[in-house]
Amino acid sequence: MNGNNLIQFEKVTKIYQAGDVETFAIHEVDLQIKRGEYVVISGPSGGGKSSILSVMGLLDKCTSGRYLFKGSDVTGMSRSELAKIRNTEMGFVFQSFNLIDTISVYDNVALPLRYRDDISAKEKDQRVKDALLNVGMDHRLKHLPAQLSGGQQQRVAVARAFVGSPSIILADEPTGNLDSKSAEIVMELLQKQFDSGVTICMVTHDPRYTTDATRAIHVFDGSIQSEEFRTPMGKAEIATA
Amino acid sequence: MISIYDIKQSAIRVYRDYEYSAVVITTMAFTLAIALFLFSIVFTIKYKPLPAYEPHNIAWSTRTENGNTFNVGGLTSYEYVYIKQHQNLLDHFGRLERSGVTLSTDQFTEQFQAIATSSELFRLLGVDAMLGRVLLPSDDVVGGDKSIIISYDIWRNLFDSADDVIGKTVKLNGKLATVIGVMGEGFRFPTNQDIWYSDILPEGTLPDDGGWNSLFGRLKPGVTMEDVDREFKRLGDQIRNEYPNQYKGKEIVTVKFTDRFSYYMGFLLSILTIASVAILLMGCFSVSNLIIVRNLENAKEILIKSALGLPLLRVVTSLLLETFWLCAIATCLGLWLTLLAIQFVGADVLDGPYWWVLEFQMPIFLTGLAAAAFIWLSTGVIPVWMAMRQPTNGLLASGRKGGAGTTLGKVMSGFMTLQIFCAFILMVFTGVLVGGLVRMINADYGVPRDGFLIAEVQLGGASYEALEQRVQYYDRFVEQARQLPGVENVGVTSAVPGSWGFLSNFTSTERKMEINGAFPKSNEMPVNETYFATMEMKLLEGRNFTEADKEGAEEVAIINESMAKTLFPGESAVGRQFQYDPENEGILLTVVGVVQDVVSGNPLWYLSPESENWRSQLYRPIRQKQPIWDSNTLVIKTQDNPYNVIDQIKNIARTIDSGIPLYEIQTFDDLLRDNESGFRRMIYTFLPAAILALVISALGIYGITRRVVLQNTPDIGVMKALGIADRFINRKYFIAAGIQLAMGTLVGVIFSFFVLPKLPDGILITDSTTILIASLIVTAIIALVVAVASYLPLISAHKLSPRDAMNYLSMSKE
Ligand SMILES: Nc1ncnc2c1ncn2[C@@H]1O[C@H](COP(=O)(O)OP(=O)(O)OP(=O)(O)O)[C@@H](O)[C@H]1O
Ligand SMILES: [Mg+2]
Repeated sequence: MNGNNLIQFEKVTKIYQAGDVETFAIHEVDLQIKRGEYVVISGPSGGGKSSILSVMGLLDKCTSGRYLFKGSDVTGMSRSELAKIRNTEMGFVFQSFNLIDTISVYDNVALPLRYRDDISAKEKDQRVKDALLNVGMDHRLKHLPAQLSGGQQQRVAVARAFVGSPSIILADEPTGNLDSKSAEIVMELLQKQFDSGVTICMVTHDPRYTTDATRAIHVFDGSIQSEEFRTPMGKAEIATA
Repeated sequence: MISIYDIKQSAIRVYRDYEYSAVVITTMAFTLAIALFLFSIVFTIKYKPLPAYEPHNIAWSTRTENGNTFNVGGLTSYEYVYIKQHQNLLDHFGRLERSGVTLSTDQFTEQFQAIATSSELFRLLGVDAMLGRVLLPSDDVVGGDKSIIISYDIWRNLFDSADDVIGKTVKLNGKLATVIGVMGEGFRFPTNQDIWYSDILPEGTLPDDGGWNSLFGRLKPGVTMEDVDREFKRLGDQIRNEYPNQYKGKEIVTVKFTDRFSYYMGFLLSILTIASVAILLMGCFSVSNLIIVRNLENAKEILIKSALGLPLLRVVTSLLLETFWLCAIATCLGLWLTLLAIQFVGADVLDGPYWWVLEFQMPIFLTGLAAAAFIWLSTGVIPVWMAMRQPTNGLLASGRKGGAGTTLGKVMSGFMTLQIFCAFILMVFTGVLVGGLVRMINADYGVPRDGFLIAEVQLGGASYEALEQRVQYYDRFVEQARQLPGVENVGVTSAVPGSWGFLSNFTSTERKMEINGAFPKSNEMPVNETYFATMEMKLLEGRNFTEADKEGAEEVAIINESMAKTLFPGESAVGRQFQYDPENEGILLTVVGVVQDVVSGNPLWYLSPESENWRSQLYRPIRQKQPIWDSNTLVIKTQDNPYNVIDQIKNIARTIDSGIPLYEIQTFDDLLRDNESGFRRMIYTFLPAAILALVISALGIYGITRRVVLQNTPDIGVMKALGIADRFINRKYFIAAGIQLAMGTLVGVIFSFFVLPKLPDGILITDSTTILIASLIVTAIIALVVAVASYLPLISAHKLSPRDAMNYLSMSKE
């Protein structure tokens, strides 16, 4: 129907069952994200932002509805098929960094490439080093995550997210645990990825960081309350300059 | 210092995490119980004190000959008399001789193990009779009236616990005797005897008077067992110098009484000791790891507490208390299980002297406590170590596991490696033992096992003093028994395969033959002319005995193949002569036939290289030789079930002579099973214990892996989020387990190659090919267990969605 649709939600619903209580974390959401979009999702706490992002990132299954990724239905896919998509098509940045603390910065970034056989070992090494250079962390290859500052850890996490050349990077409050200086750096890094053609979908509370987006979605009580397409400010500036 | 609050909190924590607590408690309780149970066997054999007799200073002398030491007996009466005259190191020096006797009254005729001795025996032990009296010095007269003392069991079972038994006249081997005493319950000294009677040797005993004595005495103050051993060996040398022929290659060995019997259990003791230590260590490592892995979860809490400046003790108290609860519950449970096991099977585990009955004694209890305390303290070190670390910001800030991962991770994989090593050792030893049992059960005695009824008979008393009279008894029995329907053949022998006749020496008439400085030995068995056919033994050369081979005719012998090879290597033995009993200038025997080899005694021993010099078998016709002191075995070959003819056989014996009982009537197969029973019993006790220990160990490995996987679930979630396939995630854990496995088994293989060949051969198969094959099998089994124990916890981790996995710890904390 639309070859440009990267992500397509059709009446996606996610229900959490806690005892007798059913929580509609996502309630019949219809949503399409095209290649080259920069989507920001915001909304009140408990509104369902993380749930949407998790389903989108194939980290969680929806309870009902249909989810097409690049036009193919993922709802019936096996665990390994889903893993394959995550590995090659998606990158993640989490609020709590989620680096593995027993292995080095280098190994953390190399992790998504580790078991791919379509890339040679040499190229893997090059890509990891490039990615770390890109985020300015090439001087900390051998460090353990615990030996880095929070901002540095998140930069490593961003490097890990794009090292596999994904189609889309999903970020859940990537700046939530950071000071404003570090937050700005991380946002710039994501912007850089966007500029190089990667689709971005980010959850954030902070209105300051919604300015880069091409689309802003407001989520409330599991439903999309409002949607706003716009020309990103940053982009406009660059365009006019 | 330790508040009620702390105690309560720690107990609650143990209770809340009940699944984990159950694993820890089960692992610890069962390993403790199994190790203690095996230890109690070692303890019983090696250290259990004989009640009241102070056995540590009872000296016990027996014979060593051709490198073989007898538990009981072997010394001549002359040696006793000689040593008695010359020794002054022992008090209550005396001798005893063991023999089978027939005890009969109007009501019964039964066979028992008896001890011929003097009053010294009772003074040595300081025991008195329960009823009547023990032997007194006044009984110590040569050829005096026979006075006998009976055991509690005889008194209860055969005399109906009658009080008037004292003074009663009975027959001992057909001769009149008087019951003078009944011993208390449990007295069966020295090994398992039921009758004691006075038997005093005359002064003029000669060097070749024979006898089968053990010497005993209590060390005088300041004298050591080694002093006595040295002194008696010196006296033995003097005797040998005087009578070089009779005492050639014979030695007197003196040890602590109880040691004489545990010596033979040496190899089993070493295996049991190694096994119980391996089990205990396996449990220690397993429990330690379980506790470490648990403490990891508290690492952050510990760090925060130390950062807040709480004193060390306060920080670790709750953790120590928690492990204390676990250890305490496990110890109680473990001790209770030990007690149960000992109560249920304690009397049946061992086949040996009467005091080898397992009991839950203080040392076992204390060993259990010590092991438990060791586990508790050694695992307690870890929280203390954790709390002593400087709570740096880095440590505090680092991930969920408090950054303790690396050092403790190494400790844990080290412990896991050691645990695998212990499991390996345990399994290899178990395998070797089971292999021994299988070999034993399948041992080829050289003759068929089925279809034979056997019965013992001992001809004694005035009517059988002449050889002719005894031969007549056997002839009549064979003739009548053969007439019975269902009976194919009947034979008489002094020993069937799987048992021993009596030892005699022989030598060539042409060359000097010596083994370990002594004449070669043969297992001598008088047999009748129908014996070989009945037992289906093959005559390889020459002829069978006939009725013409009787007193006055040429002294003939049939020897087995091994003896023929020893005496006449490369030549035909038939028609040749050899010297019998060269120690005493014995007669020349003419070989008329050569018969196949059969197994003498225990097959594992017989088939091992150790028995190399003990495989000669010498058969004599009963018409020429049948010592009056020797019992004979009647062998009845039946068409089908041997038990069908028992009553008729007994009847025949009664009609020939009602005063001569048949005893130990059983099938040949039963006798052979008896041969195996001691070993079989050991294995049947050991095997379940070892298997249980391994199951418990596997449970421990599972518990640890599960916990580790749980703790790593967020990381697994991250990897899943990054799209790494499940099998690659599994691989990471399998590689870690594989390294531990490889290390553990490697050390195990080295250890096995080092230690196994040091154990005595015979029972065990310890050549390097066997060890290698055993190692491979064991490795495969352990690998399977480790793989399963590592894989199971991963399954549940994979069932989670990546999101749930990443949030796992924070979710489960709720
Ligand atoms: N594992 C879970 N089990 C039960 N309910 C859950 C679970 N995860 C989320 N929920 C519920 O689903 C709803 C949406 O949660 P979600 O995490 O998506 O909110 P959010 O918009 O990301 O909030 P925040 O801004 O605080 O991160 C909430 O009401 C939450 O309580
Ligand atoms: Mg959220």
